Amino acid sequence: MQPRLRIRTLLLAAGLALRSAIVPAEAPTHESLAAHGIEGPAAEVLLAAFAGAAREELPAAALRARLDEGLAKDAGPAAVAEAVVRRLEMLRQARELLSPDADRARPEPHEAEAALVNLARALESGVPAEVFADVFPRGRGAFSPRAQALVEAAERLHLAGVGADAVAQFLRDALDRELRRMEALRAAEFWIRRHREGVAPEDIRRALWGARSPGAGRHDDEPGRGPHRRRRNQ
Amino acid sequence: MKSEHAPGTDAPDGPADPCLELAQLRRAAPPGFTARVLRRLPPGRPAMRRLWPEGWQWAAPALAGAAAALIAVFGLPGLRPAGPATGLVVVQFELHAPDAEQVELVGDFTDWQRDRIRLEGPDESGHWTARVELPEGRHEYIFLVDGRRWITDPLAPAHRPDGFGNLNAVMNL
Repeated sequence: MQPRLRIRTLLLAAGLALRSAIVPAEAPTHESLAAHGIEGPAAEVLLAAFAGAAREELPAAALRARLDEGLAKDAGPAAVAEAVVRRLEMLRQARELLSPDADRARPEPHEAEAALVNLARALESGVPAEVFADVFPRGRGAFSPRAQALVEAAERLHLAGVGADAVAQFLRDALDRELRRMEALRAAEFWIRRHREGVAPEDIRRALWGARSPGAGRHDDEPGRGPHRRRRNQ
Repeated sequence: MKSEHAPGTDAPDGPADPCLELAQLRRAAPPGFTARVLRRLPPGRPAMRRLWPEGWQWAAPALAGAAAALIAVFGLPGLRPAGPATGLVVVQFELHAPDAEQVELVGDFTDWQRDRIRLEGPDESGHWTARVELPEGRHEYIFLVDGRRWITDPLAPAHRPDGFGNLNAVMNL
């Protein structure tokens, strides 16, 4: 290869690497959006949302997931743009909630991103931010796998119609008992079943935690663990 | 039995100091020896000039260094740092759709792409099924029947509005 040609090739490769590094792979372009029939204001809103996420160092992959979901479901451009913008707002809100703990916990980047997206989805499902506000500082960090499981449990409880106060109380109780992931989710299932039976929150709480003091460790016979649970896992 | 002592080791009449022996062998170089040796060495470039590449030789290492710096700062495009190791769970999905000709599973685990997971069926009772290995965690999904109808899994533990007029199923593994 001629020296000049070699230099040009190297410069081109470096330019492409620089562009790929600066522009996230998840970010759409005018062309890619137009290929799906998204043009005009909706396209501008979407591009601005991705640019905002990049500027604020929020995970563009979480926006991309919403975009891809909307495209797969043949949703209208306005609905797709609205969903992506809402996801961005939830990511911002999640970061506000996690920020105080981030200084203390110093999570790895992938841990921080997973926690952020997990919390954003819970907020998107309608769990009030206040539920989490006074819960994270109680545990060993909002970025721990246990805290992540509790965020999921809170979302499950909320989607089942459990009130915000009861959800917050559940999270406090679960944090105090240092439940593992599946324990927390099974406890949430137990709560949901009793809630659907019309049992009052305090009675559910008594039944769930009554025999289990904080820090008592793992109980294989805890409520919610049994054959009545629908086994999806093989 | 007779033993032999190597030079420099303790002799029977006492230890010999090898440094003293070497000092006795040392001789001074003849006058002008160093100058003669240096005169015969080939002429060379100054040290700094040899370190600095000529012409365009600098381009390749400079670009390689710049690329390495970019990768160190931004990471390789398309590659994400590995997340925490999680276990895999085999999940059986099923949908009762006796009249369907095709049932797909679309969710975050397919990156919301169609044509990735097709359910098998229907069996004699009209059920479509698929066994899928998924990582632990929260997953969201929905069935696509005959490529046009989005059907929520009625057996899922939770559902939530997807913002596009459907209900996604939510499961936590």
